Amino acid sequence: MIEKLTEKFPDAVTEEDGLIVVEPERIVDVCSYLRNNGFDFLEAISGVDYEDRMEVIYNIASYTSSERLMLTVRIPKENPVLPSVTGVWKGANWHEREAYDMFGIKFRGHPKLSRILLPDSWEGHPLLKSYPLNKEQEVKLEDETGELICQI
Amino acid sequence: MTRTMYDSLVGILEHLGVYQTFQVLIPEPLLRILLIFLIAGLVATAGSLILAYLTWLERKVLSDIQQRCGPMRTGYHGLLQPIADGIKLLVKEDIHPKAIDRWVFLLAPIVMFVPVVVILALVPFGRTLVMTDLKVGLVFLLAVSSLPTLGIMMASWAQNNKYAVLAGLRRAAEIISYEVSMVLAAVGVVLIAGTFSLPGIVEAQRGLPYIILQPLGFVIFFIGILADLGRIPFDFPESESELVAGYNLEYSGMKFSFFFLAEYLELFVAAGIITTLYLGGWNGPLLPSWLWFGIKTFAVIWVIMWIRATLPRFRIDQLLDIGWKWLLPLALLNIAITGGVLAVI
Amino acid sequence: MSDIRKVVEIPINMGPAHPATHGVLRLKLKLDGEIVKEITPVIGYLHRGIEKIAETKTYPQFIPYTDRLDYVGSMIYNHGYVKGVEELLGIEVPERAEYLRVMMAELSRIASHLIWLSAWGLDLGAMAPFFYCFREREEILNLFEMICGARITFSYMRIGGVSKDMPEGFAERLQRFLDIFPEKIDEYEALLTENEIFLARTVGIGRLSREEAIDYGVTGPVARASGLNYDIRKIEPYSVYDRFDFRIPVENGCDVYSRYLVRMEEMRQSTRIVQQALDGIPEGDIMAKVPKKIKPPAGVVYSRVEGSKGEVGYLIISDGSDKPYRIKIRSPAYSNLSALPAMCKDAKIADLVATVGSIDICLGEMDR
Repeated sequence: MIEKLTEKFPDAVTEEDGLIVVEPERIVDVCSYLRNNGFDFLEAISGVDYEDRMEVIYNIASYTSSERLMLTVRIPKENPVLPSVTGVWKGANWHEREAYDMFGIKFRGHPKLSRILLPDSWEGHPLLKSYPLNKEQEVKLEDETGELICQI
Repeated sequence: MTRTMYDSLVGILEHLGVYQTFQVLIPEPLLRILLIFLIAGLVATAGSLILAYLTWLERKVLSDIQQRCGPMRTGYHGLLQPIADGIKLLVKEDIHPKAIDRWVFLLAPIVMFVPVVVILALVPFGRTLVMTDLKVGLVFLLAVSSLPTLGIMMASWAQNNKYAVLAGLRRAAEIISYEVSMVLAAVGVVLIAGTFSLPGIVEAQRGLPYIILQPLGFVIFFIGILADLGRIPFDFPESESELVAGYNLEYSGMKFSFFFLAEYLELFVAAGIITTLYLGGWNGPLLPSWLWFGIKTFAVIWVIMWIRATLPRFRIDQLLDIGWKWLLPLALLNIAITGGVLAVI
Repeated sequence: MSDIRKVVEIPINMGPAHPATHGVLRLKLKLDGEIVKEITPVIGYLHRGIEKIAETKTYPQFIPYTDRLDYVGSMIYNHGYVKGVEELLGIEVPERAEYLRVMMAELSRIASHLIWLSAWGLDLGAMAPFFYCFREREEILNLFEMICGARITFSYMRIGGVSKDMPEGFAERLQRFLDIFPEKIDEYEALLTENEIFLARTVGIGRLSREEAIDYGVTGPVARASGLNYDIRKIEPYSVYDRFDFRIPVENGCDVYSRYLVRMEEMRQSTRIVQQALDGIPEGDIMAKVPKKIKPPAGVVYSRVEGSKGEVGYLIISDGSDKPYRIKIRSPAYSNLSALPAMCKDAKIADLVATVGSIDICLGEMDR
């Protein structure tokens, strides 16, 4: 499959010592190609914070065979933006929200990119290596609009 | 020959020779009122004792079916548990949330409890233990027995809680869909017995209990009673996994226990009514009449508890379906058959 | 008049403290009477930052944290993690340890399904299954206690093997359990499977079609109830699963009832696996030769195992030091729950409760 991918997207997919590296802007094309060609199961989307770059790792497998792929997308730290794959898999929604929550990676075209595990008022993205571990934060639980829409 | 409790009491007092003394000392109307209060007090005390031990019984029956022990620590096999529970509920803090409708909130437990006690007055416990023998006993009973629903709806509205309101709405939808069939099922009994009076109905069952003559009516009435009690499989108003605790959600302390007590008293009364209407009431060989009544009533209570222990809950719209599409036509059919057979005979 | 007829949707908060949300799940609902018009699951109330903690712990130190992910079936979460680290290190695990792992993972799966059945039964208003299931789970926990000293958080599996061998009398006790357990499953089924009320409450409820299941990346019993024959134990056999004869139950009903049937059959199949493992367990070591200081070479590994709720995955990135550079935990219930709005289109409140229960969520592993 890796050969097929590099053949089909010669300018977007490269293989570097076992990793499949995909150009950020072409990730949606690659994913929809994969989905239509047997790799129909999106296992997880994970962010990784390196010293010089951010990486987003897509684990893609198949519901019918044991084949699986790990796509790596490299994005700059200053401006971590890449297109969302929610159009390909609806299940990508929560995974992308988690990556946004933990790393501040912004997914262009995501229906509702908001924090998922942390409260909305949280400051900073905790899984970044630069996140201060001893920082204390007050947690406010409010709705998006800032008012209490529901009172029980 | 049936006798009211008043007559029985007077009889006993006459036998002891005290009644005549009282007659001399106290004017006749006042004596009458005093005696009636005495009887009411006795019945209410007996009722509350029974209902306290119903909670114990229910816990024991459930735990037996579910392979556990139930209360064991307070007294022999937890026999003092109801008393401990009662004390706990009495001394518990009574919380009033801020946004409640105060008067309705206070009245709701009473509105729920009182009608049940009123019905208690109608149940014929034994041949000589009839508190009142109303000519329209059954009609009165069915009318009063739907009043606790008012208490539930008041409670659900007053709490200013969305879950409670949903519970109240469920209750309202529920009651109109099964009460009709329940009343119509009871018509079959009235047709055969030829009287609305509850002791009269019991007397008419000397030969055969109506469960044999009215099997269909019995099933409909029993389902109706289950729904009326709000017990599994029809416990929508308080289904704890959906509406948390439903209509008594914000209540605590004594007010909560009023709902709780009303429910258990209702269970006892409902079982008594089923016994009266379909199982021949106090009729039975050898044993005294009140014992027969007790045995039958507790058998019915046991079946209701058994159902609670084993069955899952219906969905509210499914009960409405059953009520309108099955029970109502069947109840009408029951009346038609009963009437037809009676006309031929 | 027009005001009265207007449909007013009531916003209501189900959870995070609600008996049917199995922990601290919060569902923001919009209700039209009894009908649920909109569901927004809100999670994160149990977020403990386990992925961040992982970066400050050495590889063996992280094992106890994997226990705290899914606290009802944590053997499997142990397994997924140690398997990943072993792949990074290139360690061969002794056969006896693999057999022990499989036995414990399958017992853990049974325990998890029992908890699910009991809690879900309560959601539907059936009380009896709760106590019946806990009776058998108790025996499984006793077995766990016998072998590793803990009942809930085991940390039984270690990098390179398992912590302890079977103590004396364990095999006999396990055999006794395996002998009676199939009858007990029949007992649960007698209470529910053909019960008219149960059928009315579950058949056709919470439908998730095959296509939607693929779209949402659903795994585990929920996927298998939607006609997807997907089980990592068969599709990519790890450990020694390829040596055992067992069947993957698949149902095509796509509803809550199918999920129930799948889990009941899975318990039977797990019993079979444990039986075969117990009969065929070889003699030998329970720990491989593992260096004192575990420093895997730099690299990325994605290790997946079949958990009781679906695919459990650990993405472990090593930078060559003794602490992981990044661990990402792929939690099955996270993906499964994201499909909840698709399952509950215009459902009633009672159906919503039944559906949430049928997904078998565990907030510990969802919120991490």
